[in-house]
Amino acid sequence: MSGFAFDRDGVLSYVALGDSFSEGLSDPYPDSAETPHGHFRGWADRLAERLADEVRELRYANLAVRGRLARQIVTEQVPRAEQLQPDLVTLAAGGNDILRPGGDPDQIATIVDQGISRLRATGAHVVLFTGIDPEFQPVMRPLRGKIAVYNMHLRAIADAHDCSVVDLWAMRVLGDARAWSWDRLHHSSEGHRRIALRVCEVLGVDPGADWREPWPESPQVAWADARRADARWAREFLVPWIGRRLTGRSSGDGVSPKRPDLAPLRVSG
Amino acid sequence: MSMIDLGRDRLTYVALGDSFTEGVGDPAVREPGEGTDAQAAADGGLYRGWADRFAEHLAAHIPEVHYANLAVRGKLLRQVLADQMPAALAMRPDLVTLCAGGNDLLRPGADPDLLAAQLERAVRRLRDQGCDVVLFTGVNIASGFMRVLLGRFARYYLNVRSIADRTGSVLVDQWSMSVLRDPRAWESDRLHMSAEGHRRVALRVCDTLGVPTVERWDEPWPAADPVDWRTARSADARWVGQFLLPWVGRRLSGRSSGDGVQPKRPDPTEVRSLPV
Repeated sequence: MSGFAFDRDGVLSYVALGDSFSEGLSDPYPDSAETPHGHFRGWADRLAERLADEVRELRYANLAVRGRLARQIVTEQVPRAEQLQPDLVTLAAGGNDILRPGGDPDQIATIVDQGISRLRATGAHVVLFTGIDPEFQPVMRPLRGKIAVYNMHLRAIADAHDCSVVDLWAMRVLGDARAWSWDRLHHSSEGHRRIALRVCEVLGVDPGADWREPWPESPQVAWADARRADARWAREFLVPWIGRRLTGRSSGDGVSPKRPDLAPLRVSG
Repeated sequence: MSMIDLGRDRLTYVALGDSFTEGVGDPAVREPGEGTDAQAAADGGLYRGWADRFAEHLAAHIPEVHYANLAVRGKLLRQVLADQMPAALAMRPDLVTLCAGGNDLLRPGADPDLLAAQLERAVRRLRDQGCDVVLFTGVNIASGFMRVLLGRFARYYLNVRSIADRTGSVLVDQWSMSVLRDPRAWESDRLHMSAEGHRRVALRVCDTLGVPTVERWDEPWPAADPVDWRTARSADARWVGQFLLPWVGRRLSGRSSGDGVQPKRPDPTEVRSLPV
């Protein structure tokens, strides 16, 4: 894995590709509630903000859309990234595929491999992400082996194409419930913040804080409260999610990329 | 560290592990009058294996390579760490290869996370001593009886990769070596590599560490004769009788193929380079 070198006095361009993880769910901006489909910050915006501090000008596009499958990311987002010719690309794909019954890690990896080849051919530095170990999440625990197989493929792809790897699998700190939003599928703002720190570290950019920082002591959740939360989660998230799978719909239907073009990032504050 | 310094005059290399590192499946070539391979195997076996081959490659570039191999077939991770680590640390090696955990993972209830935690502690002790460490993932066995265990193995391998990242160890990724998925890379027991498999692994270790070799680990296999269905099934039946049932029997009775087997090269001794 080669390091990521960039000119501090120049322009750096960055394009994020992927699904809800890279779109930034569920790390809402203050205006998210009033925005159709919401408006999310996420680790990618946070990374862009950090990079903007390091260079004269950062140009940033985020083509990621919730619900997208690996094939959609490779056929819809990768060609656009090839046109934009960025210096840096992050690509996180396959999560929605793996969650589906019958999702085959070998096939998903083959699709992602094709996308990575094309991105690397542009000369961009590419960052890949392994999938999280769902050890802490009982509903997802049966998928651990399948996710691990997919991750092994991804790491081999990263080796073969000389990409950087953000190894979410090894980030045990994300096993805490506070790293997740109530739907248990997307990260909380704090989860996204820690992931952004980790990506900085991998890219050799001073993150300014430690993603490993232990969580503060949390009050014990009473059993009845925990079960009520489980019931709410099943009713409000799991059942609609299964319904979408059965009817071939996606949470991303009708959602457009939040930042479709490379544009200078203005850091507020 | 990703490349080994070949400009040095002397290097001490210690191999730790189980049957894979001992070299089972790759019989040592014996001098005339030294008895047969089968007899040697029955006596506790003299195997060559990828580690001997790798040491020979090293010796082609470094004047003095001192090599010990403490690996013993059948050993579980905790046995490798308890039996082999103290001796290895005492040898103050420059380079250690450590591959273990496979025998644990074949057993019911094995926990890849607990195993990885044990492995990481050992790797850190070696790294703290200034030793370069090489770790391994295993071959992606996507077919046959191992298929059901694939997820468990993948979790362990992924943990090993994370350990290599965190400790600055070198990772030899057999998972991505599709040439090792050919049956010719394996012995008839389907658990150990053939001589050809070991040869390719040694070349891959060299490639990862930047040791130049003439041959390539990813050279395509020659076209194989197609095996008809009946021959394949009778081979399956032989395998069940000769290897699987005895293996299950050993598990049930708490015995190991490595009981009473001593390391084949317990002290670092100088390696003769491969004749070029």
